[in-house]
Amino acid sequence: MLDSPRLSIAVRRGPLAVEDLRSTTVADDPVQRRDLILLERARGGDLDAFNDLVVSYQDLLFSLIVRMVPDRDQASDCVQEAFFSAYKNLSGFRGGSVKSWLNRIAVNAAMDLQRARKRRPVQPYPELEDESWQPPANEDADPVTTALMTERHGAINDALATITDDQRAAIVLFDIEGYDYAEIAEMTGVSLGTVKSRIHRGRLALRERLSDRMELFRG
Amino acid sequence: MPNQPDVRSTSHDRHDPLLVAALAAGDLAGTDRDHATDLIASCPDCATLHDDLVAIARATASVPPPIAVRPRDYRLSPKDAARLRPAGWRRFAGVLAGPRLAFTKPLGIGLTTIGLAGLLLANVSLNLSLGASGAAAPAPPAPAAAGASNGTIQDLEGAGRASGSGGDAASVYGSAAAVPAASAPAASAVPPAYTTDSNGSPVPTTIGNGLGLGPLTASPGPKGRVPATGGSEAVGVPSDQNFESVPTPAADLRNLVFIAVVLVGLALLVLRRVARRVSAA
Repeated sequence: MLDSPRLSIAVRRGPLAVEDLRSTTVADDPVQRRDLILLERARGGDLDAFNDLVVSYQDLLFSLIVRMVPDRDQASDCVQEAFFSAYKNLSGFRGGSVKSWLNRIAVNAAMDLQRARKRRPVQPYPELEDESWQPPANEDADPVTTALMTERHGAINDALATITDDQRAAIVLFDIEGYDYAEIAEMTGVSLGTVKSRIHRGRLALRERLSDRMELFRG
Repeated sequence: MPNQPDVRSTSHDRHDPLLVAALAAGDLAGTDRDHATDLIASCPDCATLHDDLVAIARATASVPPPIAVRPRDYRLSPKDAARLRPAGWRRFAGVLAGPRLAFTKPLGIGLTTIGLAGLLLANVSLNLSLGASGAAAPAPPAPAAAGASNGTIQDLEGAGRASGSGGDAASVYGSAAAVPAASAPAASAVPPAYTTDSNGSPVPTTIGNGLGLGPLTASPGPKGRVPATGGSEAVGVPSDQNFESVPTPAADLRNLVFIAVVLVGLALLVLRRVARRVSAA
């Protein structure tokens, strides 16, 4: 992808536009620089460039959304909708990290889906009850430890499925995805204090749900 | 030994778990942090809660996704791209709603404000000056009807001033029919003017509207000169003293410019709003 002749042309192009100059503050990272180049080409109508971005981030977005919307089909639809939305709003990218921009669109799509699901309730989180998939076990791992970890992860997933959507989204983005408070606030469109409050209340809710299984986590 | 209440549980119920959760997340500082630290040091239940929350946060961070493999490829087909890419006026709306033209909103607000303020200031000052000239006109003793029928221009002006202060303006028309209530509008800000018809009877004419866009032949009425010739001539031509108070072509042009600025500003605001709605849809 980076070796394509068109990309080298893009790299050698003339002075950047004003909007691009803001992006140069984050373009020191080669991945971000590549993303910005692809995005510029996509803005110019290059579908292949946009699809290169899709290939780069579709696994990441799916693994993020599937935690927030644990139904596999709904999560998949959500990711597809996020990429559609990103393509439609290429002109809305205001610089910065393309990854964060895509994540923000996907998180918003997931939250919209959850709000819609509240209006039309269905069976909650059937996928979380599906234990057919398990994380790959390390061959050197102690079987007891592996079993403990599996049980612990199952308990956490069960508890996560029962807290509110807002709290789950905040905890997933903070604890699992590693975003900071400010990034989560920007993604979810709420204040910094609200993000903190959701995380604190979410953890308290998790502890309440896990009260009879807390021995799994202690020690 | 008498039964003693469980002091520890009772006091823990009054403790704020959110404070403990905030401490576990490392979000406290200053006195709040000191208070929470004292709390978990003095209350074993709070200490347990703190340890549990830290353990849960650590365990959550290590949870793998429940489904690791995405079910399909999300790349867009050319058909998808053609469907998603706006065309025609929707594309224009998308550009207008985009961040590159975000300045149109403050620009529209600014133009509308400037236009409205300009209109307001121009016309308020115009009306004030008209009103002031009408009300504060000097009122020397009117020469009554002396020589009015064949009087000079100066005589007519004197009569006009007299009418401005409540005098009888009928005399200024000489042999023509008396002008009814000619003195009444003289004190108003924008008095009507009069013309005489073919019979010599006075006919009121409308003069400038509130925006100063009215007929420019309008005049402050009885203060004006009267042409010496009879027939259908205008009576209310302004005198030299208050000529600057009458709407002029320059004032009209100024008002037109301000109205145009307001319209452009409003058009920008409406266009951007519509464009944002269209692009959001």
